[in-house]
Amino acid sequence: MSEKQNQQNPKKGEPWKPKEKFDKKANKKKQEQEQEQVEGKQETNKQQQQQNQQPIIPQQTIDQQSSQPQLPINDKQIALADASKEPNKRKDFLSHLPIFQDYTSVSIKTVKQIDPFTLHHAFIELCIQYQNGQCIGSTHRCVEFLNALKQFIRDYKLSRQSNYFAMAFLDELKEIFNLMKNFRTVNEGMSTSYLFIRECLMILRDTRLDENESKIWLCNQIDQFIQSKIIAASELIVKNATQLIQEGTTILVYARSYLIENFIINYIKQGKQLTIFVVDNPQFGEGSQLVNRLQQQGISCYQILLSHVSYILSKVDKILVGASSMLCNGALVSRVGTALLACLASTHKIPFLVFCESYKFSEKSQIDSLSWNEIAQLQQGNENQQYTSLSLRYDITQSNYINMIVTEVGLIPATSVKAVIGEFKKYNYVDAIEVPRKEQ
Amino acid sequence: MSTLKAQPRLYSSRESILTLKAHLSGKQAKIPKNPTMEDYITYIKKLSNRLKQGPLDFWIPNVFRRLIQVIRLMSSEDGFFPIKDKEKNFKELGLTILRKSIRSKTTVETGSETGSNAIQQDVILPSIEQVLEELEAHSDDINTFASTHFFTNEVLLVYEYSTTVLNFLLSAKKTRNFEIIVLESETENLGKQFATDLGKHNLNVTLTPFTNAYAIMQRVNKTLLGVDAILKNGGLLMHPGTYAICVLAKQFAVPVIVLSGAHKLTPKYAFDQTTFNQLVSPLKINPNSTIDQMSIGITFDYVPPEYISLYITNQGQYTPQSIYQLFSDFYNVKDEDI
Repeated sequence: MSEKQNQQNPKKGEPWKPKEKFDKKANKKKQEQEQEQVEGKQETNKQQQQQNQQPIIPQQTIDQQSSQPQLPINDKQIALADASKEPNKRKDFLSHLPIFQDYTSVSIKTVKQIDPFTLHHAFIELCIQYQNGQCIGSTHRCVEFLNALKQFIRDYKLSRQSNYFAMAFLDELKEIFNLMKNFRTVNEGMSTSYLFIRECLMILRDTRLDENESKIWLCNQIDQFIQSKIIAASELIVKNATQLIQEGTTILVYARSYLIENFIINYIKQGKQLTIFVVDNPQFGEGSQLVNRLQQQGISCYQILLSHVSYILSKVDKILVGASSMLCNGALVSRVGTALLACLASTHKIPFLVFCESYKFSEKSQIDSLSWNEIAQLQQGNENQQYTSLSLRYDITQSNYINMIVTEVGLIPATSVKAVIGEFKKYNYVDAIEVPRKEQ
Repeated sequence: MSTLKAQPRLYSSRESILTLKAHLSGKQAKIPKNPTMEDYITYIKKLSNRLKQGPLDFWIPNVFRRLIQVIRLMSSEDGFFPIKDKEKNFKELGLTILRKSIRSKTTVETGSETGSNAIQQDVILPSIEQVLEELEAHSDDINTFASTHFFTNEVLLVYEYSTTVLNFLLSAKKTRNFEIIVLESETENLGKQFATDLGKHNLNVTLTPFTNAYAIMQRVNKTLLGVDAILKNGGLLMHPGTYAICVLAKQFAVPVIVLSGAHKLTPKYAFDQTTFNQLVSPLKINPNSTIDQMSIGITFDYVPPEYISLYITNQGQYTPQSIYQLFSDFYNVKDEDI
């Protein structure tokens, strides 16, 4: 058994190879079989019988968060984290939301043995970081994902001719995305980068480059995406925002946003004064992270909790907030608690500004926060608790609460998001993609 | 009374009344030899000043105000205030009977020194008993309105710990089913405590952190709040965060119902968040606070009267626009300077 494990478990540094048979049908069948087994397992769970030794694949959605006791780690089973026991009436109104199981690195390695389309080790590390909370924030997650993807591209080896690189890699990309959705929902930035890479692969398919060259070209394209859409965009946004905010204003910031952090640091380095209130969210700890980072730059600020915000609202001039994505109907998807702040801001007539790069614009529409959301796993799960706990990650702020969005294409109102998306669709998301040529 | 309040107090309202009783019965009170009603009243006022813990302690002056009002009523010749409902009527009847029995006693003994002292004691001690009884039984009176305000399978929102709300929900549970969502503030564990206490009685309880308030409010039918103090203009002082909840409730057209005993009525006025407020130590909010990253925390939140739909007190149900009437019955205008 251990020899088998060693054979299948690739060591680090070795190029990762997919299994030789690219037989889609066989894989589909196997997946279906495994799904049935999982459902059967869930039924036995519900009847509270002893667990059979069946392989379990992480499922994307689970109907009810049934209480699953911890299992011994066999070579065919995954250790499930002890989900908190809840009474039967749990989450009637939220049973449609995806719930993610907690995986440890050991459990993921066992997944690798049974599933042919297993994740590259870079992605595994990334997914664990997503779950721990080490990697949160939309920009951070997207950049880390693209870095992991570049590493994967470098290690990827085809067993066939290079003409098929693009198509094979497209399939790989899809599989990666599907598997990653088991750990945390894919945010809008990651979806946009996925679409961009797909466009590149389509172009690559029509050219005649061999494997190495196409890999290099693809990595270059990803770098260009990061450079133009994230880094250059942030500089432009900071420049646009500096026009808006006069010296000596009092601003209120909620949770941590990469753009707002850059903006504050930039603004104060120019020698201007700002009074900063940071509203903290102790559940995710983002506010205190922001405060620490500002302090490292020598910027002092006040820290306050969301329930105490009413006290200082009369003294605040502007509210700045980062975004996870902007939706087509003008709604803002951001850290939970932003909508509350927006509602208070509109009552007190305080301008509410959103900082968002254009690659986070989405074609979805959503009106309220409960129809789609992500449930944040709380660390403590008391077995005897007679109440159910609920904690969301995202919040939808309606467009009438938002005064202005600061993007790299300019300062736009919330209702213009759709127009900007339309513009970008014409240009493959990053101006025209250069068609690759063979290197001499 | 409630030991779960954010700031532990040295004397609860009930205990302060009991200290007064102890002082009077132990004859340690510094009262002149032939005390009149006014002497007693000034003594009570001084005692309330001594026992009060800071300018933000409303509860001790409130009970002493009420005590003085009851004493005035008991000792006056014709002390009827307008009859509002049957239960109150019976209480007044009880008072008049008591008064008549006292008066019958005085006709026998002709005002000797010890006699008049005893008379005053006979007026004051019963009124102390009356006030203590009001304090203890306020929950029962509030619960009589419990069943009239909910429909079946309703979703109620509650915030942090409140014993009044707890008793109210437990008595409402007998008649109909509903769901409860408890919001918990970030600093203390009061929300968790409340959820466990409710869950013990087989209620359907969900606990959410405060930041989810906007998302949850779409699902809520009514909001129930306990109070720290009711002000004379109809405003509220309560745990920080209540203002945000009330603003949200107004946005979603969710009625806000406030439950409290009448001993929380405070004849003062406030207009913004800073009138009655106090900053707490930054270390309570964030143990890593330094001078450069100061944490700000407050004790009270002021909610203006336009955000509230109904007050349910043990003296009746009132809107914020009409609760001033209760003040004039409950307290006397002369005592508002305590």
